Amino acid sequence: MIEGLIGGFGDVIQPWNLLLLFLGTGLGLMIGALPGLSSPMAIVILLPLTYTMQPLPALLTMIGVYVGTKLGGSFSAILLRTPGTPAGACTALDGHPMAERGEAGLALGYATLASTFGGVFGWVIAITFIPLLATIALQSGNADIALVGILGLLMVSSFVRGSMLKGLIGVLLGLLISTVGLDPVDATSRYTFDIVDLMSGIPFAAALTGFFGIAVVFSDLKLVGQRSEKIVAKVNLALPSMMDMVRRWRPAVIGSLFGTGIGAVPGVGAEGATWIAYATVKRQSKNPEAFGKGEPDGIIAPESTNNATTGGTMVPMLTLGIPGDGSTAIMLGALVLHGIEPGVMLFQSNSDLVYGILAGLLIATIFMFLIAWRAIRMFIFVLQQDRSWLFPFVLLLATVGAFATVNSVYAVYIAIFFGVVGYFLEARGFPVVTVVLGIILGPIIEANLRLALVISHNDWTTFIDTWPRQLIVALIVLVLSWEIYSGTKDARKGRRSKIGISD
Amino acid sequence: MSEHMKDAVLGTVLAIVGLFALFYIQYGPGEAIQSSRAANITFRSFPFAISALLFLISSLYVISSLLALSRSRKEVVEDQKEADADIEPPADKTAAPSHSSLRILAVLAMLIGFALLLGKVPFFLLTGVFLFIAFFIFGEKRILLNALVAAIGGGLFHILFVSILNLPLY
Repeated sequence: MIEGLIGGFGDVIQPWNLLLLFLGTGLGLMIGALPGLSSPMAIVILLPLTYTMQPLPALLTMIGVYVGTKLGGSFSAILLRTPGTPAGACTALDGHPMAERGEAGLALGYATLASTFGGVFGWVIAITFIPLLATIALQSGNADIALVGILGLLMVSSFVRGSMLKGLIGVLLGLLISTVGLDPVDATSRYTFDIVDLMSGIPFAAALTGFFGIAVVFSDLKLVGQRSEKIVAKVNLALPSMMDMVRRWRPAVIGSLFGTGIGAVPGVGAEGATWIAYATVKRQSKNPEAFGKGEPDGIIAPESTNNATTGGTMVPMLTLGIPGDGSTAIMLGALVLHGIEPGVMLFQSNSDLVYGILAGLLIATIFMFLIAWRAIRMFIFVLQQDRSWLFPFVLLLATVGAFATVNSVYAVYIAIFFGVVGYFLEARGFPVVTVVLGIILGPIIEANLRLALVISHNDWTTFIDTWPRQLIVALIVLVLSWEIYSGTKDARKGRRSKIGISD
Repeated sequence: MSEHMKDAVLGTVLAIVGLFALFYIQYGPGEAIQSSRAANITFRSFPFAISALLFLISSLYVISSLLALSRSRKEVVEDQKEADADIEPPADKTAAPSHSSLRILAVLAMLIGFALLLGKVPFFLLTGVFLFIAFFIFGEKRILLNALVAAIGGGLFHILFVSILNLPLY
């Protein structure tokens, strides 16, 4: 592992790779600072620019954006009480009161240091577990992969914001979309309606640009023309003293543990993890009443959680080919576009790339700290700008990016179609990430399910004939039973969100 | 339209999609030609199961939405009775489409127009015009500035996608 990591660092410190990682991180900080723009959107509009690159530089650019947006979201949360990303909302609770009493620079300093700590913590966990899990995953058969895929989708639909019903519908819609085209075993056409372009299936990247590019612009059009309040005071990032941070180790460690652990569960993402970590730190605090009034621990906990998820989401992505959130879903898509098949074989067949990605994750975290520390004023300027200049460029990049996936206008129509679908789904509270995960995992689940049955001569007990499979099936039953139980209980009590009704 | 009704409408659309997919995969064209004939699941099985589940769960969602709608209407009626008809009637929510809805329609039309003309009109010109109109739709009224940024943007897009990335656009 050490040799692999050294090789990975060697690849990343090549000047071109390092430059792309640096630029990606800076772009991520900027995008994260702008309310309404998200990491998946930024990565999607980068897709066409990375087509002609080698896989590692392309992935490094995306990793930089992914890491940068995590911290960028806290800038506007602290300064304007308007989180740049959903996960930054928790930071606003204590960050903004600190800013109001004239300690904005210190609040930003706590956020930056906590994010860096969380990022490094998550990275350590990732490099510890990924080679271990990859070795175990290598021994898995078709039935194991199909079961893990089903469990992943169930967990996604259970833990995403909103209700399980909405999550399930999103996943099923994604799975149905994934069946368009030639089927993975027999090469028989399905849902192609005699349209030749549909024979090769829905262009995955075009669908992504629709969901995360066009749909997001549609949803955020209400922000156009709304300029944020001006930050008149001169803000400089003020790092807290080392002793102060050492004294506050507990929220940083709790946050990092939650971030890495929950981040490794597909679909949960940082948003839910930050609130859980915040509540835990507040409950354990000697001064819980200080939370919400500008308590630094209330910034450290969510920020360390937020960045620790970057390491957590890499674990299922690089070992099983199951993305942890929307951004890693697009990164998996980018791997596919570069001719690399994600999944259990990734670590064996492309270990250089995996170690390069892991090395890039750590260096991006360091870049994030340095850029935020030295260039905070630039991001404060950016976050006060109107979206009317930005959205037309995002739309153009999304449409041209869709075109570039198959060099055909057909992909642009697909992107526009999914942009409209994504807009309506998001408007009714259906998280589009569930649809995207369904599209990615659909072919993997179907192909492995069918191959497992062919190999076992149609014996369905193949799915429970080893103890790991029995464990996964038990988990599937457990997740499903728990959701049915809690959903029914909430429905009886009249809590509507759990039964799929808009709050 | 109330929020619950919107939920019900979307749920109905999804249920129809599921039902159509179910019938199409079961009775539509297609013949398995290879190995999975020996297996008891064919190319139809997976989409059949998925579309059936989509239909069922979407129908459940529609029913839940309609139940919630009826419950909320009852609550409104009871509240009105309790207040002894002293409460003003609820505001009419079927107002004219909001400004952002019109913007969405304009942007959608622009995107479709862009797709129709892509490859037929020089890329530099197409992107420049797209940006200029988009700035205007998004509320930037300074025509000269819009034109300048659109021209620069169009040029940059041309250099990036046509000259550097060699996309088949002209």
